[in-house]
Amino acid sequence: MPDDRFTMNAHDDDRALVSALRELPLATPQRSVFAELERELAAASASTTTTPRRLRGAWIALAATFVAALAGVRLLHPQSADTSLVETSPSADTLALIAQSQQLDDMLATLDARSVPINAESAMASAELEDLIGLTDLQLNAAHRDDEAHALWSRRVDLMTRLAATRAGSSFNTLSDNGGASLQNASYRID
Amino acid sequence: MSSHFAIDVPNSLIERGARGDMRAFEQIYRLFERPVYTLALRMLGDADEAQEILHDAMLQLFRKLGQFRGDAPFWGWLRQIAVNEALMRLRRRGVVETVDEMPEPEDCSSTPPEHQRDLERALGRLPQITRSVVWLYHVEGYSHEEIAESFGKSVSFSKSQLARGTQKLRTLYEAPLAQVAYA
Repeated sequence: MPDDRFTMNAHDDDRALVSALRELPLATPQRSVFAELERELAAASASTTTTPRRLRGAWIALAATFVAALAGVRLLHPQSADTSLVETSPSADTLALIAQSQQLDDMLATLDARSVPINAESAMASAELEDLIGLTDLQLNAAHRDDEAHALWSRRVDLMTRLAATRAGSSFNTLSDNGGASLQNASYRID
Repeated sequence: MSSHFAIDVPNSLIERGARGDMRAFEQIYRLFERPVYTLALRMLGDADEAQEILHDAMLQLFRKLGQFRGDAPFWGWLRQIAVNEALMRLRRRGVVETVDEMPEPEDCSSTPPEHQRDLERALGRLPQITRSVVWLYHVEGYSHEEIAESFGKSVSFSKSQLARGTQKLRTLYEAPLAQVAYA
């Protein structure tokens, strides 16, 4: 390919540069990760299929408890926000969402402190939710306007709620496994 | 379409993969291994992390394959999974730097490099978020609206990062040869 770098300037719509970018060859990974994936998926599948059937009602009741707790938190602590991630003054609605998020962080810390093992399916679901929360935090770091921050905090609260329900449900189920009771591990969502 | 992702995948293969057929999943993996890795490498600029993104994105793909509805191209759906994984990785690093905060490039004289190697090097010197915007727009064909949504930012953010990033890339790209020419 001819080297046309000196034919480019700020006025030629960068077509040569864009063309050169598009012609960069595909990179090749140092190694295939397929065998690793296959092992992990097989292990997760084995764990899921050996999980006993559980009672949906008890799980939903526990999830409902979280919803009620969240509602109470919002009423009791509307202004106790940590606004460290918001660069501009947040609105009252945004502050309320931040307060909810903070309370959920506390709840999750309490759940984590129990150190109860969770099953593989819930662990994968938790990991996915944590990733999405992480992505939301990244976006919050770069949010400059209150409407942006409000939407992101709202999403964070939703994800945190689901994470809390997932962990609580899994912990409850695992404890139940140990005690011989039977609870259904449903893919229930709190929206 | 310039994206290396633009590969047609038979519906039968996707359906088999969604049912947990590992051989079908392996075929899909082989088709998209390099496009996913390349995208991650361009966005993150690190081979080891790109390898991890490849792993994580493919794991997500397998877990979500049953959710694919076929109302958009499969490759675009998979590409978005890879983009999301890469953006999450940037967050874990705490990367928020854009071209606005980019320091002046260091003087890095080198022997006359290959055309593409020069461009890869120039690309690697852009801040990660700016580089991601440039790559997604120019190579993957994302619109400003799609970039804004992925980053949780405004369309004007995408436009400004693209304009400044492209300008900076051109400057960095032209610099090595200029140093040789005027030496």
